[in-house]
Amino acid sequence: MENARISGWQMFVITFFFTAGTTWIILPGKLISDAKQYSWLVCLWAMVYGLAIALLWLFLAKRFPGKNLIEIVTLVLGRWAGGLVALFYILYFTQIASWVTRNLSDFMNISLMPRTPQSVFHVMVLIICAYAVVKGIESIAMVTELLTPYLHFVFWIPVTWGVAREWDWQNFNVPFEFHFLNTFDQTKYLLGFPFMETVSLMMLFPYVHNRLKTSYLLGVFAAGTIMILSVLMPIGSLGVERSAHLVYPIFVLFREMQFTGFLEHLEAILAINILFVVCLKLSIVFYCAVLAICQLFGVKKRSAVAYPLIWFLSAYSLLFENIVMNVEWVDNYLFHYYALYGIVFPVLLLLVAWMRRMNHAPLSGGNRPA
Amino acid sequence: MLKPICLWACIILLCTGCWDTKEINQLAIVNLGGVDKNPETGTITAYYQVINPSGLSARLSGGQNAAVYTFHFKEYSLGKFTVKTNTLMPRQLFMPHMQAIIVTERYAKQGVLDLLNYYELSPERRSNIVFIVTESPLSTIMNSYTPLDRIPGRYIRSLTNLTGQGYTSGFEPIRMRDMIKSIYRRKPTVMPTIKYTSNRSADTTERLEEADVNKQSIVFTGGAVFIHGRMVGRFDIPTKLIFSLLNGDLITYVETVYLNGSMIDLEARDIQAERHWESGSGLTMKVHANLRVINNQQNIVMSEQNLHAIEEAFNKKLEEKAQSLLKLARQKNWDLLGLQDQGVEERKWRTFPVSFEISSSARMIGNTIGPYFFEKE
Repeated sequence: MENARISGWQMFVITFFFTAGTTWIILPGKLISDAKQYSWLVCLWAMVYGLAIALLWLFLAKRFPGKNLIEIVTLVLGRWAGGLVALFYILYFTQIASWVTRNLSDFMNISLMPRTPQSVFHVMVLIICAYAVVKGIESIAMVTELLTPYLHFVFWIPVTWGVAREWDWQNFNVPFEFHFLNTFDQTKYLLGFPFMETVSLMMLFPYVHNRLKTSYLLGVFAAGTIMILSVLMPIGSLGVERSAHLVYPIFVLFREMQFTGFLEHLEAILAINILFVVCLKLSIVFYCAVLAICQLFGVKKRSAVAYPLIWFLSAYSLLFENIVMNVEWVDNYLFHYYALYGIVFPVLLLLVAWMRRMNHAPLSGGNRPA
Repeated sequence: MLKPICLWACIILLCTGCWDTKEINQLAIVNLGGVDKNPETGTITAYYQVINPSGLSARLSGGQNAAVYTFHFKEYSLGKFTVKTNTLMPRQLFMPHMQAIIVTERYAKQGVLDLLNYYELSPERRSNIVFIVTESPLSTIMNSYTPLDRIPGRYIRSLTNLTGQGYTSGFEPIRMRDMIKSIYRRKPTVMPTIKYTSNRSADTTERLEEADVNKQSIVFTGGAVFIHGRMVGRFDIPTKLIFSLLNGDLITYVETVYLNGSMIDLEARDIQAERHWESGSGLTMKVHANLRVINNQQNIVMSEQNLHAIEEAFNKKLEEKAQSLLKLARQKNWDLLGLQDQGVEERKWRTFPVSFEISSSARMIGNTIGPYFFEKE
């Protein structure tokens, strides 16, 4: 394990980009399709859920200061059972990484480069992220910190101006009967993706030297707020029905933006933004996967795991034949599957720790030996 | 270990453009499109007006080469046209820079849902293009050169940009996306109609040497009324303006009123159309406009009293127009005010009470305080 330090601010931006990551570009269309003009409410309660579950993980982490998720698992459940659960988490991190990779290639294929094979996108982006992983979490944190102003600047200025011009309150007046339980059931995937994915960040907790709780919770809160805005903007500008039919409504919003007669077709700006954000999320989860493998199997060099993992992730990201299969999986199984990692295992760990009367582990403090 | 990986990554970087590469010299950049569908056979005819870059650059040196070339193809399915263009067009079809699409009236009356779906699905096509219905034969429109802007697509776009200045968002809601947005609404969408002023198309650049523009030109005639993607009728330009005004889209237009037997032209600015729903008494539409006198032929000096009279005349005229639009909506069964979209039941909307309260303030009178006139001797 590397000897790294992450500041509270860096943890905040990491949490924010990890949580918002692919969600703000992929989910708005589906959410609007399921909850129509009330989709912002869905984002609101998902955010509250995200904060609540983040508190659970923070509580677990507090009981074992200086330990990351894999260390906690092996410590609490023992070598064999803990090893098995740790393997599950490794699978989970690699799955998230491969789905994020696939999200990117789907986006590039559908919106910008339809003839380029998806594997080319996979391998290229994974090589870059693997390099970042080898360089370490401090490098990833610094890049995230560096890109934050740019990413916000080029997104918010055009989007605020463009959406304000096209905003129509009539778009929120669509005939739709809102039933809380039905809507909750139909949109429960949002609780999993992205909010239960953030359990991955428990791998980084030991590196954070100050304000871990604040930065982590604020990161989740900020990402939830972005999700609310990401569904409000297409509804106000494109309308409920149109947004519900589009795969990437935010992208279409940029594509159709027009500032006077000469400044239009701004989608390239957003495409670059998406590339950056997805690469950040991928780097973070890729790092978690590599770190987990290194710790479980005692591998010293991250490069020995990171570069071979490129091929596994690239192949695994081809699991879904198309985006429709991916969406159906998200719709039907994602919440239940993610609940295993986000709720069941952490609660199990707390229970076992309580039963075994395990309190604070001997190691404490943020810094870890290399 | 790292060296071969880096080398391999560099090779991949070189390959990324291979599949989706677009060499600008090999593109047929379509500026204007046209579609017709034969209701009997179902055959679709698509027109592509492609920019000729050398024709455009020749303009600078005084030549009059063709700025655009028009290709047309026939097929039974919209998805086959891109491949079909390879039979005649020696360039790769490139659609993202298209300015407008023109459909024939007979196609519009059959419903254009298939076309809207095709455009929305295709990542290479954009829905923020101006959507126009032609009353004249499509071939005449598509095979004609236009004055001042030799590229017809740009000519049409310039015209719509100018009219768009009078609208809330800076754009008249006449883009394909506006129709798609309203596809499930009960309120009709109104798209512009055009016609060609001659039976013969101006298909050579010789037309550009003629001074009389009106002889052979594209002209906007009014609006085609679409409900759920199908054309159901037509508006003239004044009705189209009142429709836009009452729906809160239009903020500037010119109205003519008569006072003391004389004509006065007023520019209504900053128009605000608000809806007040009152249980029992129905809907009250409150419209307020600031007026600028742009033509005054009265034989009297302008006074405060006279300005109030002008305001009253404008209010009365606009109310009459609003009432006649309401009457038209009830007659034709077109929910032009979108009452059903705002919660009025389908069986009640035609009898739903709607009243208008028009107010205006004459703010600007121009350079003169009154017109020049002579007392009759």
